[in-house]
Amino acid sequence: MVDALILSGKEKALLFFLLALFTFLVLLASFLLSSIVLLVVFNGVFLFILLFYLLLYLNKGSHGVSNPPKSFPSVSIIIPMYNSKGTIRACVESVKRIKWLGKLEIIVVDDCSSDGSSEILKKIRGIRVITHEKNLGKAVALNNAFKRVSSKFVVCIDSDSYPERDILLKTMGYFEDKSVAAVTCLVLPDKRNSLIQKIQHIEYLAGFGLNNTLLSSISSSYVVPGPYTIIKRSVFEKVGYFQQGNLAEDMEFGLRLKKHGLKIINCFDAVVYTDIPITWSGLFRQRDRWSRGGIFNFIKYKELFFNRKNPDFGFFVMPFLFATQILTVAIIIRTLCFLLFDLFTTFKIIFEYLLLGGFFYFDFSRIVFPSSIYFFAVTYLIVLIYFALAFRLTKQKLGFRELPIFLILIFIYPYFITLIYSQGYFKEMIGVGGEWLRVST
Amino acid sequence: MAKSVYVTAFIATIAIMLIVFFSVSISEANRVSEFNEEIKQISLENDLQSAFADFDSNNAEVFCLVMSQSINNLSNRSSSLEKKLLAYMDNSFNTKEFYLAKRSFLISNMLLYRNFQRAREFCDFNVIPVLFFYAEDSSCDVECGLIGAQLDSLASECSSFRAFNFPFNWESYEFTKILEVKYGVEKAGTLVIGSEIISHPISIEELKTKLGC
Repeated sequence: MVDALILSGKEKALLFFLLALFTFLVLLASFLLSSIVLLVVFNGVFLFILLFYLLLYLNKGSHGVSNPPKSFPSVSIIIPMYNSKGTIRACVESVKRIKWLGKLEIIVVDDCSSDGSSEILKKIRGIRVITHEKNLGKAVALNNAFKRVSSKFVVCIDSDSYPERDILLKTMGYFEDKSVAAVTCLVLPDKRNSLIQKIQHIEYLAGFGLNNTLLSSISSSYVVPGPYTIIKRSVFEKVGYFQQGNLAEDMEFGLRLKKHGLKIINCFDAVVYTDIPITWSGLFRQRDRWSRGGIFNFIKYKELFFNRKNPDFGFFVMPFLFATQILTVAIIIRTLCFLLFDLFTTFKIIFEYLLLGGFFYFDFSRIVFPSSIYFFAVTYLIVLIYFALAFRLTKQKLGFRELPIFLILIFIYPYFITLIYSQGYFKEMIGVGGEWLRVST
Repeated sequence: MAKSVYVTAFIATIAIMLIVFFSVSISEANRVSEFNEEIKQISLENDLQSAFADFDSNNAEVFCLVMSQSINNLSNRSSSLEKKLLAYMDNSFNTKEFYLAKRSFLISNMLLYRNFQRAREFCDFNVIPVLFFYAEDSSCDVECGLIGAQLDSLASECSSFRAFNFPFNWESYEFTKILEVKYGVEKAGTLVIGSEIISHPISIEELKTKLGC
């Protein structure tokens, strides 16, 4: 059992200061500008980011397509496992099917599983198993394996993920460029039957497919996703191993690579399938971890903000990502303040109304479209184009049946994610530790 | 490569925002001009009614005939216009033009209120004109919200009164001061029913009785 890392007192104070500053600016702007102007300004920033990505898409050329290797060095595939009874067999079987002409070893690190998955492992041939006597967490599981292998490249695969056969052939060629430290791929949900899975499917296409590819085209990819990442082993000597107790150790490692000026390439042509949360509470827990890990790591790697060595990342990706997140939380706080005031007024009206008698009457003729809706209509149209491009890039079928999912993803889902991010900020600010038990997602 | 992409994205963002902004401005300007046209029509009819009242005050037959034919229609048009005007005003960029339109509307509404009074004075006209003074700012959210809701709900089921809403003591609409002084209104959230001044919320039953519902 590993406790999650928490921010130091100074870092918590910095996070509090930033959130307070943004909230103050939002409140100040609310009093100086009308809410309609505020919405348009916020929409303008969002529109700029979207247009930037669309233009990157047009400029990206062949970036992210499969890149076959010229040689076949030895590769170690490492699968950290903790209580993965339902998935480990299929995971190992799919890994064993991976095509590779060089030496390939498969190592499963059993992080003290107690659900019977250790027994399943014993029945699988052709793999090496490292067993932990205590549950030490995913980072330690991976690090222990990294230290015991001699291959030139290591591949990390979550125990609930299933790579396609040609994944190594498509991704290995990128290491011809000496500055490339890691290569990631398109992560897709293994199943997409329910609404929550369909939403995540589109989200993964846009995030792990289009967004990561575009980011990597400007050397700004900053995550090495658990479902599949291939890392040059010599990199560990330069930057160190995965950080124990970090809620988003894949992001922390990615940021560390950036700090050392190393590249992460995303190959959208190579695919790994992964199990995704099937309940809203499961999704909440996963995103809570991602969001808190993200906040924690951005604060830890604050020196990357406005860093001239990584101009695209330092002056655009990181500040915009962090600023939009913290601004969203500030807007939530502002909205809650205003809503509380409105609720207070409304309750007083209701109270007096009940006291004085009568019935409620709402005049629907007073509902009109605000002028800001036209600005949002344009932005949402570009968001739809962005999602459509994600489908196109990843060669997925796009039909009208996806439209309701798009609408939910655009109009409802962001509130859910924003809620998670907002509470994540407060958890990080007050230093809620939490436990990091599972080695997989 | 990326630097030029930032510049292009920035220019494209500004261009799109400007195109949308100009389209919205044109649409708002058209809407304001529609409102102004309707206000002008209502004002003209108000003026006409006032003229009849001034020249025909001795036996008032013609005035009452004109009033009986037009006042309810005029009142409904004015009421509907007020709701739309306020709703669009709260949701538009070009608030200055809407303020000017609202100013014209309030002046026209004052005249309509005056004609309602005259009609009650000279003709067989039973609709009670009610003045309601609200606050433009948030100083009277609870009381004004409550009284406004009471008037709206009663208006939907009872045609024995007509509410005329005016902002209380607001710089941009200084002319409403004349009504405040005339009726001795001292705060927002005040109702004037006939000669009675009610400066605090009353029960819906009491209000119904006073409004003849």
